[in-house]
Amino acid sequence: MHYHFFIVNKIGLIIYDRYYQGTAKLSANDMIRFSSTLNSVHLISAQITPPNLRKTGLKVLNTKTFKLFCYQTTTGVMFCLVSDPNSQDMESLCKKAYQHYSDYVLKNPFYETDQQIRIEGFDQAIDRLFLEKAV
Amino acid sequence: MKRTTVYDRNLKAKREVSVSAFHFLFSEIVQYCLAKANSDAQELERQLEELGQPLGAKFLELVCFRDRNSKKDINIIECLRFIHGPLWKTLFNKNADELEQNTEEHDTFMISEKEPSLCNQFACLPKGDDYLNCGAFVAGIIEGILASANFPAKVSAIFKNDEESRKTVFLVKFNSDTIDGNY
Repeated sequence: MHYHFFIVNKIGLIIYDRYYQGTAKLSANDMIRFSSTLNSVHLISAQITPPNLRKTGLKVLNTKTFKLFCYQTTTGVMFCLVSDPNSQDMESLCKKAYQHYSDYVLKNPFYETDQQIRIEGFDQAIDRLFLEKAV
Repeated sequence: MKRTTVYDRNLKAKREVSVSAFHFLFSEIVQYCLAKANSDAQELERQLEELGQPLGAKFLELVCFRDRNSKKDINIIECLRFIHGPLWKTLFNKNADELEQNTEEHDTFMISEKEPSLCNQFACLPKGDDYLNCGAFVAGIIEGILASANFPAKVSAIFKNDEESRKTVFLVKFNSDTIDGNY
């Protein structure tokens, strides 16, 4: 089951989010605070990684009630998914979302980089991705 | 050693192009035109059409040369069928879905597609803003073909307003003297 999917751009601003399973929505301000905190934690955790390990930054956050997965692309955009603790395969889902992002968002001439994503085709593709797997 | 250029290639051999590469290029083209048109939708459509027209003239030659030993159609209906069939197949690797004649205005034909066309698949404005159709590029290609086949016409790409399918219709309106001579 997936609760919440969002995309954070490379400077830590939220550019897209989508709620599932009737999850309570965060207010816009809270969401901005949350995404920038997440971005900072991600950067710090990459910095404090011991030198002989790969500096991937924050990847998974496991709690009793949810699991948060972050997938950061080489360009710095972060795809984050909040699901229930038993969820599997969250990485491949995020990668698929990345695929849709590069199709629907980056190939759209009317989209400006690092701005809010409001593209109908992308919404549909993302919903298909997360709702199909949820069943 | 002589370098082989694009002109040395065999014209008969069919080539496929990456759709992804096309989308990126097309996206840049639209952005370029948008900047030149000062974000004016009609001006943008006009520029896209203009870009498509010379392509159409070349495609007519190419497809006729490949598929039918340089034979061209001298009849309007045949020419439209040619666009609907072989030409569409060369451009998009499938036939166009429907070809109809307007029942009231006999100089108007419609070529429609069920799925969003290649140009509209990703290049679309948010829902509700239907005033801009990037299929104008394809409309320009059709216009170029008809012009070089000596059937001057005005072709425009419009959205058919049904359901959410965003069906694109290419409206082909022949000049009055074209129709008079051929009907």
